[in-house]
Amino acid sequence: MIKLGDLHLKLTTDGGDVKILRGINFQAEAGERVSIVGPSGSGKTSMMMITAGLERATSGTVSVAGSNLGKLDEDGLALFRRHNIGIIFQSFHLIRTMTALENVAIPLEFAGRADAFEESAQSLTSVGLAHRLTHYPGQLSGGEQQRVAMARAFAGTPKLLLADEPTGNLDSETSEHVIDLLFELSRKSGTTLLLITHDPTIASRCDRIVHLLNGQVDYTETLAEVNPHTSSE
Amino acid sequence: MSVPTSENTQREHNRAGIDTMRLAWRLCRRELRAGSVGFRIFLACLALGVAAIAGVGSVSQAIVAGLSADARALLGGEVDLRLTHMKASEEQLTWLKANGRVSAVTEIRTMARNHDRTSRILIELKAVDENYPLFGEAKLSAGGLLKDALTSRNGVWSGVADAGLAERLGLSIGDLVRVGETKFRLADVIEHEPDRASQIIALGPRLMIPLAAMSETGLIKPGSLYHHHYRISVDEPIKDWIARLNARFDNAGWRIRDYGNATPGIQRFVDRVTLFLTLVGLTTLLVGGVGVGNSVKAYLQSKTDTIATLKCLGASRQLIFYTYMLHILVLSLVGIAIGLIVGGLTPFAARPFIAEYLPVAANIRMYPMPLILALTFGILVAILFSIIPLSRARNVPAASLFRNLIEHHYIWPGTMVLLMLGLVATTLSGLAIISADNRIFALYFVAGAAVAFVAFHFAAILVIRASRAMPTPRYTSLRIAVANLHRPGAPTSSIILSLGLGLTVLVTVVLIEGNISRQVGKTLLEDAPGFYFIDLQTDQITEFDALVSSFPGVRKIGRVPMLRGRITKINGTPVDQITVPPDYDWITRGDRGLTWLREPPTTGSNVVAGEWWPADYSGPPLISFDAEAARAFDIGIGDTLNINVLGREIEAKISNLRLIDWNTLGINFVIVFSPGWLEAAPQTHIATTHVDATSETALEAAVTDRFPNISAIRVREVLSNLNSVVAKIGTAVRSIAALAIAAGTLVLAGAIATNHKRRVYDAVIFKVLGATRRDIIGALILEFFLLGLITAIISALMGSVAAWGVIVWVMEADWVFIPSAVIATTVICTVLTVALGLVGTWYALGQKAVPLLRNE
Repeated sequence: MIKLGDLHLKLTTDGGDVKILRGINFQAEAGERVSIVGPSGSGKTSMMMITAGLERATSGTVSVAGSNLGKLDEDGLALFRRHNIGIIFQSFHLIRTMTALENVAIPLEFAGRADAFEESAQSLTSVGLAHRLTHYPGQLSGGEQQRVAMARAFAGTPKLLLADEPTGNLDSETSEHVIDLLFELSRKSGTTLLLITHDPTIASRCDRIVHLLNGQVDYTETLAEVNPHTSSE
Repeated sequence: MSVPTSENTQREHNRAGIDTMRLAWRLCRRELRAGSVGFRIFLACLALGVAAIAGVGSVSQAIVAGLSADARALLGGEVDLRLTHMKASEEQLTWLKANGRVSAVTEIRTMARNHDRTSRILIELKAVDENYPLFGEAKLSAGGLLKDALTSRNGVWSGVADAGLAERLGLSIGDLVRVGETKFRLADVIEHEPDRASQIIALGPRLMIPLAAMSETGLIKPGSLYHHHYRISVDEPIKDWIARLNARFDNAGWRIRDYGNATPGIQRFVDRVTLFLTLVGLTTLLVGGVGVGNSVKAYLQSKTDTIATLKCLGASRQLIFYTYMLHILVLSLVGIAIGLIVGGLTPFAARPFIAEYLPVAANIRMYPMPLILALTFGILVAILFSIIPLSRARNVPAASLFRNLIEHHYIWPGTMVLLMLGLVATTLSGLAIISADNRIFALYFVAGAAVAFVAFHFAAILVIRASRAMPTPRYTSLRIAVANLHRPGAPTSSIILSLGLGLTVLVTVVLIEGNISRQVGKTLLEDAPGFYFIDLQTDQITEFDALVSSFPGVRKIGRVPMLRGRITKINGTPVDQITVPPDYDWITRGDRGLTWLREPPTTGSNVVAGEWWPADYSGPPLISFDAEAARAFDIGIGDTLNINVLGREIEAKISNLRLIDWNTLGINFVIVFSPGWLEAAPQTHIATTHVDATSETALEAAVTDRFPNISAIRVREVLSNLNSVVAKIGTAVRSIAALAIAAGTLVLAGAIATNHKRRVYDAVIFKVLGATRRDIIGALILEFFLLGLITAIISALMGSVAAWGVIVWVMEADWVFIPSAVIATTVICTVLTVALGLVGTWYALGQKAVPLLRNE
């Protein structure tokens, strides 16, 4: 599903060039759930952005769901995301002037789905927000907003779901509910999950944990290594 | 322990108020450190509106000052006595010469022909004596003196003429020009005639000849329509001199005008145009006011954290209100100052246009009064549109201020705020009305503006609700576009209001101008006679009728006797003691054409009240009067008018009222006498002829060659002149209306800028969710297309209604809808909105997603 080969990312800033990624090699199989962990600045988000086609690598190869992202232009990348990717952000990134239903429907609408709103309503119902369809983000709690974001990410049944610290802005109780939901949806849809988190407990629920340090893969742990007594979700 | 008294309480209250104000000013100064960031549209809106009003006012003042400075030259003297049909008596002339320096001038419209009679034109002939001009200087092309040019050599008089006359008749200096029964040698071309600027439309070019030569033309005949002017320079206060004149010669029949009112025609013209332009300028300011309101709202929303923090730290609602009100006022003054500078300098920039459009030299400098007026308008508009956002910021609880815009609920601004709003709106309206020359017109404008504001406001609400209620379109970009019209914080309302108001003004102006132009150019020309022949002598009638009626191409002839007379009293009260509505003061202002008839007119008017006199009536004088004028003067059947005809005053009773259709351009008279009173008076006849266009020139030649004293006025040419004046005014009005559109565009740009951050964010999220650039551009284009189109349609509708109202009710003319004008403005508005919308949001498309998406 994901093949990242010798991935480098260098950004030019006022203070000079900054090397964000320094030769990352990474693969994930379809249906696999992988968490990416590492200290701030280790390159987690950059790796995810490149995987989503939102950032272009300085060098290296990026192949996701059979597409070589390096060969796609901006609109090609948009079409690629439309059909393959769902993303959940720590800050939810909902459109504040759209209702929950509209927020979820948007990617389906872009994909030209005639049943965009019916599907969105169902998606919101599946995350327990059937009663919040016409509410605007500002009228929802943080947990509810993140559930809307999840419903949006899963609405198109993407092949790959990218989650960037999805519980970073939530309290522990809400976090737990959100993560349970995330894994449940992921399991039901058979979606590949790439999850960035600082929380070892959440990371340990994945099949594999990839540790990044200074823009490189430091080491990788499998579920069996992390917790030999626990089976995968 | 002191006991609190009501006086102490009041004092403490006052002190607390002053302290709050001081603190507010201190906080305001800190806010001002940020400069004008976020206020550029605010400043531009105010500056534009204030500049429009200050500019129009300043140019008008410059023209009025020019008229005033040159008043003696423009009038030709300090006092001008005008007699129609007759000269002053010897006794009168002797008195005038004994009491001042006199210059005599005779003016008549007549025909001029080239020497071999192959071409001819109507001219404004002016015969001047050796004292002309008493004031100012006549300039000739060759640089010589006028008195040297106006001489007689070898029995032939010389004259000087406008360049237009020489051009039209194909004359060169030294050539002969025939006028009446004599001829003149063209000695030079007039470059400047100091007293020419008395009328906006001249029927022909000027030919100036020596007064001594006038008798040789044979044009001065009993009843011919000529004016004798006696211009006098006096050595005492004008009022005293006029009082002595009136005491000496009561009922002399002359119109007395002094240099304090030298050019009432131009003055009226300038006043009317100024009023119209000022009101359009005020519209610009009101449209800009919407931008001011939007800017203040956006600014205060951006300050919610600051306001919330201040409130948490103990700031009162009053303190918050004063702080930001002071801030807004200071910034308003900056915007207004920019507008005043631009407006104040406008006369300097407008100098060449004034020189081209008006026959007077403007007195170019800065004028304080229009600037003070514009300053006041600017402050009032700034306050008017800022009060509600200020009151909201004051009233929203600190905790609510932390929430985002979605959770804004409607907050009642409070009775005091609404009272303040009412007071400011009333003051603004009052100032617009009081400062206007024609207050009724200004009142209509204020009412119209209020109705338009309310109508556009409701139209915007309707659009928002309709877009919300309409079924979800299948096409995604269209759905996003429609949804963007009703999203919380959407600029739909302010764009429809601001752009719509400006566009309404433009549509109104274009339609009114188009209607007048079409009316003049088409409707009138179809029904109007081809010629007016004036100054027919009674003994020429038979021959004239025979010549014209048998002339090929002539379809219809109308002819009536005509004299000139002036209304001096209405029901025994002198007219100068009567307040006459401005639209009808032309009837009492000077000499009017009169006629007498046995039978009622068959075309152009109908008797609507009273009875027409019997054909053989021979009793006391009766008159038939214009029904509309009678209503304006509040007089009717049985009331009396005193009319001075050739120095003889006739008191006549109104016997009937006629409703006159002036649009036909047939012969119509406000006053028609019964038989028996005017037949014996010296009079001429006026005739109209409907003639095929191809026969016009031949008929003109035949009549004027046969009767040199008869003048032919080509209606087509007069209307063409009129059209060009209308076009010039139209250009000025459209230019100012364009400012209103510019203000609307600024508001649009402001609204786009305010929403810019949101649009960039939306675009990024759309991209993340798989939207291509085409999807995003498509949605944007559709959104602004819908917005522009809706605004344009509403404006076209309201502008058409307004123009229809003006044409049908004010001008009392036939209304013709001109779709091309409306469609053109509609298309322009839509294209403008889409273009601005795209330019304003293009940046959003190029935004990189990552910086916005990274966790904060």
